[in-house]
Amino acid sequence: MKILKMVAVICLLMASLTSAGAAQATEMRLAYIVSDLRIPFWDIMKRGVGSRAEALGYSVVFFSAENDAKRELELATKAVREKVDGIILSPTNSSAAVTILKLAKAAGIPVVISDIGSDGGDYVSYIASDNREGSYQIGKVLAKALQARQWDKGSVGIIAIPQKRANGQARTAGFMNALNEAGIKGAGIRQQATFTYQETYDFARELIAANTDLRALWLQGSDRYQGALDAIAAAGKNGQILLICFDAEPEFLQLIPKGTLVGAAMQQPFLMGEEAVNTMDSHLNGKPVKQLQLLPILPVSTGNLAEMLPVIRRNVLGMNVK
Amino acid sequence: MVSDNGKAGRSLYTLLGIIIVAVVLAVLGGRATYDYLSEQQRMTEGMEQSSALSLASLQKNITPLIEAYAINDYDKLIATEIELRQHFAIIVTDLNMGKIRAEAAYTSGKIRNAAGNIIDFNPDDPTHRRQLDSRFYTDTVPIISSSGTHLGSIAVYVTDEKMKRELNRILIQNLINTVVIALLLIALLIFAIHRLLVHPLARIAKCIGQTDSDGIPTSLIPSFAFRELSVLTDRMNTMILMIGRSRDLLHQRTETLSRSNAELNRLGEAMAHHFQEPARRLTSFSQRLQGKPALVADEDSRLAVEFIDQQARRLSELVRDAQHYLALDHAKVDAGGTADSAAALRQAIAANSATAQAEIVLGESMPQVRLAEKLLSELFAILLDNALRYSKPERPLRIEVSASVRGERAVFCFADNGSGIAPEYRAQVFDLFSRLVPNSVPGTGMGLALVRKIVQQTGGDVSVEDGIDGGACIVFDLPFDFPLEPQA
Repeated sequence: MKILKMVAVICLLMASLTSAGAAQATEMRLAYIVSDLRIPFWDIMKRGVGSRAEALGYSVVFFSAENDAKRELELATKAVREKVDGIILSPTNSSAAVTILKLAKAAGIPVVISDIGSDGGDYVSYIASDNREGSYQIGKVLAKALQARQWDKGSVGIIAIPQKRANGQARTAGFMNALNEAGIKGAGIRQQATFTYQETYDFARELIAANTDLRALWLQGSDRYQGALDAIAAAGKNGQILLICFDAEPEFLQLIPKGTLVGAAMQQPFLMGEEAVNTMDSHLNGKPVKQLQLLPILPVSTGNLAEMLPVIRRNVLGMNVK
Repeated sequence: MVSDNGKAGRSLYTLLGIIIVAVVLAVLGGRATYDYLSEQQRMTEGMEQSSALSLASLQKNITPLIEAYAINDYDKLIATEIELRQHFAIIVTDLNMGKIRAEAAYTSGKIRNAAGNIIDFNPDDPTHRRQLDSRFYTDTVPIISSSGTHLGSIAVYVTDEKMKRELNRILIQNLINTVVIALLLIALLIFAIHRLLVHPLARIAKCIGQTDSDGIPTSLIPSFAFRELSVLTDRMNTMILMIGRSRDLLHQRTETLSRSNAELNRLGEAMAHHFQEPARRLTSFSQRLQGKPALVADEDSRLAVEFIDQQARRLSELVRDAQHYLALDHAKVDAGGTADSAAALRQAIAANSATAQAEIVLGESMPQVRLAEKLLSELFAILLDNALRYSKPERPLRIEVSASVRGERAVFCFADNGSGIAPEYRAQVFDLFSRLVPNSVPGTGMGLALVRKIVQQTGGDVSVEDGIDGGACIVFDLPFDFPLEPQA
């Protein structure tokens, strides 16, 4: 029932975004400075930015820093020199964002931050996913799956993004809250550093080896899910250890129905990009905006995948959208 | 200067008080100044050391951040360092970021605002620039990458406002301490000096102030507990006793002298009457005999009578002069008030007809002296008589009398061109009955003795110096009455 309410909210949001599009008819230019467009998540967000900007009548220049701090500063300097009307920023990290905000402020250019966040500085609004709530919801999905299999006496291992990051801390806290409520114990946490297949594989093997009662692994990312699956298989635990992820890959739409993945907490990058532009538009038109906007994360599982598929395809995967 | 009654002049108590105050303030003030300067130096060194430590730390940590273009990360380091070390500002000049922005360098950092809060440094803000320029101390180090590339520099700016506040606090504290300690010390020292020194001295002064008619303390000074004061009072008591005994001895001698003087007076009176009378009779009878034709016819008898007459007259003169000499002891030398020395000299000249043969020259300024005019005229008469008596027959007598004022005395020079007095006899010519010529030459040998006595009665002295062309000059001094007025 709660999931149905969430879908209704998202649909209303999409409708409002569509209806607002025709209002903007100026030749204003925006810059989208993004950490690395080679990563699907950012590319989807870029498409959300582009889609909404076009709808509102903005032209957008896309700057991909390719995860390089120097290039990011060069692009930020270029955007400032070109005197764009607004900057949408998905920084390489929250510290680098401060310098970009400082440069933009000196030039009088408003900035909306989409994901990652900033350690400081002045910005119009920060658009982020509600990591804590999304992780809590996916934690409840896993707890329900374990209880259905009567594996709730077993433990759950976590392969996490760095816990010094605020989103990492929020994800872990929300997820553990759900496990605690269900009385399921944790089996330990490993923090990713290189985000490689091998790292994910090794961490999964370590957790399986260290916890004989391990019944599930939670991967706080999506792109290295195969490393975890291979580790489970290599340990001879296929069918004995569940895998649940954060974020989404297109193939999840097949893996979840098959039960290879119990579920995934899916951020909505396309929606975030759209909302960032929408917020910038409101600001440029003198309307008040919230400085922090938390967008919901979709707790997708076998049970609700079909129901949420249109939203997932559009907002999560940026599919079938011009 | 202390007056007779001891009430005027500077107070020892006040003087000691001033010295104590000055010394205490100087010592404590010096100490406070030393503390102040030492603290200032220590704090300055501390700031420099703190600055050097910050630079060393930042140089090490910021270099990789500049290389990684992590501007905000080194800004956070700077903020932490400023907070930790209480610096005023830390500014980084980043050449890498400067290249990105097509500028010589990118300048960023942190600075404290008026409220002391740490804010972002804005290189375009003239207030920030001005604040940096007026800082107390600045130190800069370059930032060099591991490959030797110059990446920029770090500058630490240190304010002395905290030091000034601290030094002002120390100054006020020292001032209060100095005043309090000084007041305590001064009060203590003045109390001690009063009790130990001034009060005993006052007792001594009071004791020796109670005197008899001769000004000698009537009682001895009581002893004190302190050795130094006891030594002083013992010595003073010894002096008081010795003065008393001396006074008694003096009284005895004065009485003896008085008796001797009385006898001498009686002798003078006897001479006046008993010695003069036989002399007059001898003269009288010798003159009668000189009138006898028979006696005049006999040459030997005539010569004998003339000799008797001559000796009788000489005896009479001797008695007269001796009587006059003794009478001077009772004469009041300034009984007649003041005397015009020129007038007195002219009076003596007029009284002696023989002076007409002499050329007498008076000085331009002849002073007024405090001496009875009669005595001064007599003094000049004796000197004129001597000059006439011992003049050289081969040249006319010339006498020059001059005077000058030296302090409170008028110094006279009575010079002649007579036969003079040899240096070896100049001291004895003022003795009684001293004569440098045969008895056949008239005179009693009392003249210069009388001159000396008159002069000495006034507190002066007389001597013989070289006169004109081998003559003698009698130099003497008398009390001067009023300043000379230049003659037109």
